[in-house]
Amino acid sequence: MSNASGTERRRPGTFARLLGYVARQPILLGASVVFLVLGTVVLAFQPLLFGRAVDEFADGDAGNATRYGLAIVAVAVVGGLLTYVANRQLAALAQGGMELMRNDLFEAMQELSLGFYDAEAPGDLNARVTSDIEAVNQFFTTAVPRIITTAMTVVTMLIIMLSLDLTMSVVVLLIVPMSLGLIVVLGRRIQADAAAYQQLIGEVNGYAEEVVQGQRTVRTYATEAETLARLVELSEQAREADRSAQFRSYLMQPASRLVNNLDIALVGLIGGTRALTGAVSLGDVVSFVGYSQQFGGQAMQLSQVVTQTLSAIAGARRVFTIIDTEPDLASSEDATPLPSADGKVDFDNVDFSYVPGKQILFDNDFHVAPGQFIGLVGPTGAGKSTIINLLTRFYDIESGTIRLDDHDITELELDDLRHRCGVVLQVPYLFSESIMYNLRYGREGATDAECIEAAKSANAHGFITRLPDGYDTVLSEGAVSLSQGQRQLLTIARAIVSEPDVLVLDEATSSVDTRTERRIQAAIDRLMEDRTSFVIAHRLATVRHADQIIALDRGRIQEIGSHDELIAARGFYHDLYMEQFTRQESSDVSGPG
Amino acid sequence: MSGIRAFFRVLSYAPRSEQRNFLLAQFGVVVMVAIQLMIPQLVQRIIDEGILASDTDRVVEVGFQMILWSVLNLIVAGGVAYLTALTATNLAHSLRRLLYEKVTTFSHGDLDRLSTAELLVRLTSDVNIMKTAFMQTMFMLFQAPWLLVGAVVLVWLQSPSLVWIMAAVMVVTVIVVLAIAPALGPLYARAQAALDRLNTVFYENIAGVRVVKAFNRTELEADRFAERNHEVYQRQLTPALRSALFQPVLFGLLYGAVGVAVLTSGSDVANGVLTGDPDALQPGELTTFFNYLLTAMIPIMIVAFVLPELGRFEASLSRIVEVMRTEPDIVEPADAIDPGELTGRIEFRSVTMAYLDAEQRALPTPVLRDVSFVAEPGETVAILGQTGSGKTTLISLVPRFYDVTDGQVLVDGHDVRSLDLTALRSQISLAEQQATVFAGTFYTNIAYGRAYGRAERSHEPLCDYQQAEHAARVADAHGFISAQLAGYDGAVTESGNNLSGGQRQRLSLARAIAARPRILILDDTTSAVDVATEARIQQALDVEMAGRTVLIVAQRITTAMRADKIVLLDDGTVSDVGSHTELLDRSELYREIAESQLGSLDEIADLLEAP
Repeated sequence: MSNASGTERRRPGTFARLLGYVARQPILLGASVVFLVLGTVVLAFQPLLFGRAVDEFADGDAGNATRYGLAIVAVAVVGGLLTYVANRQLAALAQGGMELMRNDLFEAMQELSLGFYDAEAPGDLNARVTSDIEAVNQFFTTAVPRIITTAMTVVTMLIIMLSLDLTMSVVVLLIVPMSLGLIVVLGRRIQADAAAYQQLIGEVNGYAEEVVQGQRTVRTYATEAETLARLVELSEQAREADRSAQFRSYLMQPASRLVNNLDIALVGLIGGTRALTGAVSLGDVVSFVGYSQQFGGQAMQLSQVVTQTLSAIAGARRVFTIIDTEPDLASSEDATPLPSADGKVDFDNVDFSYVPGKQILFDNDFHVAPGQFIGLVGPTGAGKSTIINLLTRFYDIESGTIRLDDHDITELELDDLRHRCGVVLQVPYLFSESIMYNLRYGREGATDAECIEAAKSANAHGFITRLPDGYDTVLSEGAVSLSQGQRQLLTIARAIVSEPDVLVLDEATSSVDTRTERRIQAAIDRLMEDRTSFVIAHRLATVRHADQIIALDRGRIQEIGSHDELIAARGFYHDLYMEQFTRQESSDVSGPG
Repeated sequence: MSGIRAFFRVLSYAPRSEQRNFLLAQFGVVVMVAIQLMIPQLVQRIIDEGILASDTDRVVEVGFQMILWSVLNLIVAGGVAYLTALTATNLAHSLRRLLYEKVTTFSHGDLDRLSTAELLVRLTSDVNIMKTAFMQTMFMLFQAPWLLVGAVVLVWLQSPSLVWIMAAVMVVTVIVVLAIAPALGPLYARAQAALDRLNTVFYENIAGVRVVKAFNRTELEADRFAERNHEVYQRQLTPALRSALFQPVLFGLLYGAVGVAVLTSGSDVANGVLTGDPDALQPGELTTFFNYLLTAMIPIMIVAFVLPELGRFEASLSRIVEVMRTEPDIVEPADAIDPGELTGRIEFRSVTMAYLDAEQRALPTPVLRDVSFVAEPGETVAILGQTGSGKTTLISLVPRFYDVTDGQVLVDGHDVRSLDLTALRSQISLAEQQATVFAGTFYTNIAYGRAYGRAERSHEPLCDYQQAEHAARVADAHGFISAQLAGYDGAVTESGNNLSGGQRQRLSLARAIAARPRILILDDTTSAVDVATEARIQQALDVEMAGRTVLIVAQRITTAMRADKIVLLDDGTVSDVGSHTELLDRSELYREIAESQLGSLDEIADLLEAP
């Protein structure tokens, strides 16, 4: 059901976009680059000074020993300080980039319509996004500072080396293609193995999640041995891929060391030869040996963040897909505001389908006067909840018109439309915040007194005040356990706080028993006074006093009328009502085949 | 250091072959360290004997040696890396196996007390943390002491006049690392906690998306998110700023030490060159000194890097050990009776049942008190009562998911506590309101209870497609399954995410039916389907389960009406037992429930009499 994936705008590459979050903090970025360059320049003088000193000592001249020594110490202190300042800025830059990206993602997800969420299981979407974000986080905190540092160091050292000798610089730089070759050869295998492992361990963890959560079912069917065997089998496959990936990634370091030593030997050889011809001084050759060691160190550190960078790019690509999804439901530019409503509702010939081609509602047509109580009844899958989803404009219809107070709802300010409607769902959903927070969720700016008043009229005040912290009790998992009925009373109180003009109750009492239902029903009755209300119920007794009962079957309205009228008509509703009491002969169930 | 102890404790439980691999790898580690210490020596020779002596042949010769040693290093490191990956991945695999094996021994009560989420964290991320830390310890950490000792000894042997500079640098470095590193662990833990809170907002926003949108509180959500997001930023930044000190301080020390060496020994070197004294400090030795300083600094950085990981290793280990030490509260007796094929007679004899607390002591408030009734073979018995009256607890006692506190639950005359659990459970099917289905196909889900080993134990043949379809028809699931493109081979995704609640319920009901149990238990299995469908299912079940015992928990009185017998529960005690007409006649509670659900009983009677 992904009718909301929308269109993707053309965007720069994922890696560039990732770095774009760094660039969005220009002052920090500028400052850290400046300090980094200064620090690197200063520190790069160390091999230079050291080489010169060794040069002079080798000539038997120790006259400048003190000066060289002090200069090197000064380079160390100043360079260290500058690097420290740069490192702090890089850390802030990385964390800041991460914060920006998380906010972007969250804001984008706020705009997406329900169609997007329908396509995903909530646990799934959450797990995927958190692991993607975590991969990007790793990239920002370790790889980004590494990449920037390496880039700056390499550039600075390059300039100093080129000022000394071109040929020797080229020899030192040979490490770059060699390291790249290594990354390509070894890194590719590691990436392939790591991807295979991620896939397989995902299966292991998915299966573990399923059987641990379904452990009671495993116990019910006594399939402990079978599930263990399956888990072991999956885990063995993951182990093989993991072993191969780990083995190769631990090879990366000694392999880079080999490349580095090869380069040092080359620098020594070519430098020695050139020193013989007098093209460079012996001291400069010693300095170049030092540079090639440092270059090797940089290459080695860069190779360690390659895997991280690759998985961050994969994760970021999925995150950006969400950020780039255009919300398919939005208020139009010239939307009409609706600060309050009388509650007149009209459905004119409404057709709707969640997925193109699979029509759910056919030509639904009904008219509700302000303040009326409407009961929606019909078998599972008749389209009752869909009608409500359309009224609050969670989805847009295909043809026909839905009007509130004679305004087409697509022309209304989306915020206003939803503010006019208060919804109580079958499964009470509360946030793991305080009870007061949850009540105030109904309307921004509601006072404590208003919230408490709402709780009283929802029959919830009593049990709330008996909780350890009263209205400040935080509803976190495991801490406070409210019964399903109590949670439902809270969601009703929340709906009261929202002061809706149109009230929607979707099976609000189906998961509680009869006595609790009565308490809830009393609260609901109070809430329904003077408001247009739509009530969906399986238990037909709940809606028998409705002004109009709309009986639906397979997306088509079968009948509209009061309970007494429809019973007297002996049509669809009558049959539905009678089915509660009688066994009906059914030909639906036959033997095998 | 307790992390190291934890490491060896884990190793001591490993099989012999793994321990041998570990020792072999450690031998390789020593070789690797020796080579790493030798390389700077060779660099020095290239400088001293080659470049400074203007002898290119010597440069080639020594350079060649250096590359040979590097190749050897790569080979040895490859061996160590292989052994490390082997041991660590075996460890992870064994831990997963042991943990899940343990989970399968837990009773429903154990599972209630332990959180599923936490068990999963043990099985997934704790295992992963242990694996990663194990590898780093085995491959990297154990290089550190050798590298440190080796570097100091070599400097001491070659350039004794420089060893004091090195000693001073080492001492300062250790102080710096000790000042920064230990505080990082708790700081990272705080950052992680903030991240968990952020993820909660994230998850709730996804799970509660309808509420967020219905009340139009996206701005509030965005604010709540931004606030926690900034908290994560601050908490992650604090340790990051601290560790920003490491690298500049270490490199500052390193370079500073070289400066001091130049300052103090410059004249010695120059004099040595002038006098040609072979015992004097050689120019190349200054370079080597720098290299050995660098070499000695590496192990200290390794320790600073791996120690926090080892701390996490230890924490994960203790969490896993905690699970492994949990004693299941339901254990099969050693002389368990196999009852053979059951007739399905169930008797509750003065059953009192209280759930256990975290210490496995019975809670003071029993959920069931003195419950007695009999379900004869082939009877359908409905359990009716308010939320919290103990209906689900009652039926959970039959497959012995919990033990009674007092009294007896008898199946075919045997106390369930004396029976072979697998034999008992293989002949009982239970379908729950919160239906659990598994990834696979519709067919594999329906056949689940009669596949492979289970079929044999339940005295029934394997379930074929025809029988699966039959069971699906009884459960009113055939319609939506056959609407799938692939029909019964259509995919059911993890936890049945691609199905609606009602579809999951009907699928799990089909599974329970397909198992052809001697005793079928339905725990409000049809709450998400409409009344008409429910009636259809009931009727089909009556035919299907003829001759077999059915226990059925119901919210709707229309469901209970059809049973042979209704057990009316009120706050944990049996209020009455009888048929619908009997109870309607004599039980006020029953009448109350009936009227509230159906409306006026007189009116219904009138309607039913109408032609």
